[in-house]
Amino acid sequence: MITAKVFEDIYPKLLRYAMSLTKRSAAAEDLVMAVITKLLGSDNVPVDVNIEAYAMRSVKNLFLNTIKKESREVGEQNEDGESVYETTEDPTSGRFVDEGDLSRVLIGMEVKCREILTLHALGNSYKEISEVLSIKAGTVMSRMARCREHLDPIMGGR
Amino acid sequence: MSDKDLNEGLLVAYADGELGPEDVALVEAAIAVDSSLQARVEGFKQSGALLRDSLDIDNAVTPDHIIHRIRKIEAAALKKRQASLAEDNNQSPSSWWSIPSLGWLLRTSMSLRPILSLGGSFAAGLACAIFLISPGLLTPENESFQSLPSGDVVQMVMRGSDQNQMPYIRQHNQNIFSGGSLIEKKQFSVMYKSPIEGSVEIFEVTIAKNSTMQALLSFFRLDIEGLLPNKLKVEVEQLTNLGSFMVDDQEELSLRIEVSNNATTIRHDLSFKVVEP
Repeated sequence: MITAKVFEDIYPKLLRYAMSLTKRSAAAEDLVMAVITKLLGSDNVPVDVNIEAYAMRSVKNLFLNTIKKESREVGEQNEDGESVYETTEDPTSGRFVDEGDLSRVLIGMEVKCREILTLHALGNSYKEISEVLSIKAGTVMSRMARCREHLDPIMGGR
Repeated sequence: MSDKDLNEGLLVAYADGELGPEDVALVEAAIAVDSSLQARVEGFKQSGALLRDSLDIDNAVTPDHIIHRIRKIEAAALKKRQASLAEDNNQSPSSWWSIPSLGWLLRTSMSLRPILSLGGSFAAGLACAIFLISPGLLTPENESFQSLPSGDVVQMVMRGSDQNQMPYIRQHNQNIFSGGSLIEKKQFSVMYKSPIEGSVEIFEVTIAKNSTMQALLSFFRLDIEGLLPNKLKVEVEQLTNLGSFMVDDQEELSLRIEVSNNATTIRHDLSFKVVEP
């Protein structure tokens, strides 16, 4: 069984990842707390699992379920989670806490790029990223390359 | 994936130190031929450093009010767990009941109509089986398995499946493997966790004597939709109670569980016999 201590330690990472999905810090906090509540109350979390990756994947699943549900509620018959996921872009809806160039660039990116770059910035290996996002190693590499190019415009000053 | 994507992917992975020795050699050989690639690698190294520096996650701390909330959530979860343990212990002092919602499933399943009689005789001493199907690649819960008093578990290799895999049969705190006997006239559950998402069909498999012919009779069917993808252990609440059936003393029951979706079909055969004490 997982203890509160585990989540106290990984909370900043979970929150940061959730923000890459929601773009709003309040929504990200709600998302993370919902996952923590679920996992702390569960008897079914595998014993030998990498809890950080597991929790991040839970954050993503809950996020996808929520936007699926919301899109159904407004009458969009979109059964494909991935495409709903693609249509959540709203650059004016929120922002990262930090206001630097990087945040401004990130906020304008598609969610797939925000999340993979955030996971990388959080120190996750490609293998861990592939687990969290449930994508193949080759996809991690090609997506990472594509998304990193978005950062080129702000690299000049370094 | 185009060649460009692949090359760029290799370059970024190289810059991030994510490649194995073979791929490192490949990339370094490519750079030796085309020096413009080195500039790409440098670019990726810079953007990687920018990302890591920007978050500075190692120095991030969890705010006190969040720690407070997490501890409250843990306390509430513990309380709930203890309450359901106490409730379940009143009914059956076994580890089986310590999973609250499974206990709930077992209790509510009493009202289910038997779908099909087997053998036609329904004298006293019927055992009622319940199907629990859930997605997720799981092995049986070794923890509870090992905590059983010795002698309670009859171990046999499940026909058609590895002993460490689903399905298996459970009666309260006992895991009963294929060929094992049901010791008491009580409910038992066939535990099955599907490695894939899809629709589930359960067949009764009748094996005629002196014949390998199998007659498959559609037992009942339902679709499991919207469940989580594979390799993810799911909440017990998402187990689906498919129905119940009855088996008389000395009867042998063989079942085939098929889970199928557009891509694949997975079959598990299991059989067991009811032996009253």
